[in-house]
Amino acid sequence: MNWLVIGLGAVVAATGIAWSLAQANSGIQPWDAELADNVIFAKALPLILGFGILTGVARALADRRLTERRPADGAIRRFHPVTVFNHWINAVGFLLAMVTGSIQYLKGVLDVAPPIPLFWIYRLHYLAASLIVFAAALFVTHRLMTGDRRLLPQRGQWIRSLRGLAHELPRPLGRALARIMGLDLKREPPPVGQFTFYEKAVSFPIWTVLLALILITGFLKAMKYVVPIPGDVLWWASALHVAAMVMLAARLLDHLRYVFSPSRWPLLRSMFTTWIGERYVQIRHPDWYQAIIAERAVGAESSGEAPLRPAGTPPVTAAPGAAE
Amino acid sequence: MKQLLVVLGALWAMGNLYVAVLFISSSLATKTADKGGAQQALLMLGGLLIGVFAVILIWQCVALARSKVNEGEA
Repeated sequence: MNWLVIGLGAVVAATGIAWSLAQANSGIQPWDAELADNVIFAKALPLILGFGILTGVARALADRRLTERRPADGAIRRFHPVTVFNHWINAVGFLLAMVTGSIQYLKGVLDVAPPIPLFWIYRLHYLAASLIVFAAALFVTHRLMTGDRRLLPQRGQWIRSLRGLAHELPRPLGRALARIMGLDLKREPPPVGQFTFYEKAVSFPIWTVLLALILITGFLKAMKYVVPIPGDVLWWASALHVAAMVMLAARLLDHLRYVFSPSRWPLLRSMFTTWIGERYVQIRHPDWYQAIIAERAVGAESSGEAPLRPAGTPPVTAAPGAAE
Repeated sequence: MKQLLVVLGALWAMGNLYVAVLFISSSLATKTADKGGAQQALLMLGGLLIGVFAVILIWQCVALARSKVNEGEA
């Protein structure tokens, strides 16, 4: 049923975009290649957004409740296959948008001709933006529908997360953070869950803010030929779009720096395979491991089997979308 | 897989380093100076930000290339 809904959504979106293309290429429009692309992109945006939302709804409805284990070696599913697919769709769009956006910006700053005709740079930029819009719509819809907050510190847990972050950071940075925030580093660090404190308190919040900023400002810039937008608003949208691009370039470099750490190799690998070794989870993500054991115990109790949880571990209700 | 990722990461970092150099050099150019100090400062800051993170990533790529990670680990 979910695949049927996604398929129908894809057909509707593709038909709408094809219609926009046919209009632009009908020969009765006075636009040049660059403007025609902009108009097609602006008209396609609501369709791409709708398709992303639809796919996010289907993904949320299909969520499994239990964390999957691979029978052969006990490996744990860290990411749902749709999450991995969406991550790489977003990554391809993001890299393409960064390169084409930088060429546009540097052309303005340095007054140097681009390596290929400018309308191709814009065309690729719109294609990249479409991929990012789809990925963002899918992700946000899924999160809103399931109430999943695992990539953020839990409500009321920010101080605890910052304490965990201070322990994860290199010592001088961790101490500086502890001094500024008044954190007690003598206390035992809180156990790491499915995502590290750096991912939850630094990485994901910054990604969210910067991607929202670049998408909103990009949307305003794209709509300027379709609906009237005041000049001041456009100026600010352009300035913030470029500022967000520069900060996202730095964010991506830091993201790569983080996942390329040899100690986090299994985490990086899981973004390709969706699986992560049980032993690694047990040692590096003990809070998540306890939750998985407790989740299994709940499943075993409800099915009449002997509970598997270790003594002293309270049973917990399985979270929706357990494999992120 | 590890070596491929290291090469891709290092290439991306070096591309960013080149962009950072362009940002910094154009922040010192006469054309930008005519536009005011704010424009110069923003370009310089952006270039430094990207440059620092690019250098750190190159260093991390070297560390990953030298490390003995178990590539077959799930």
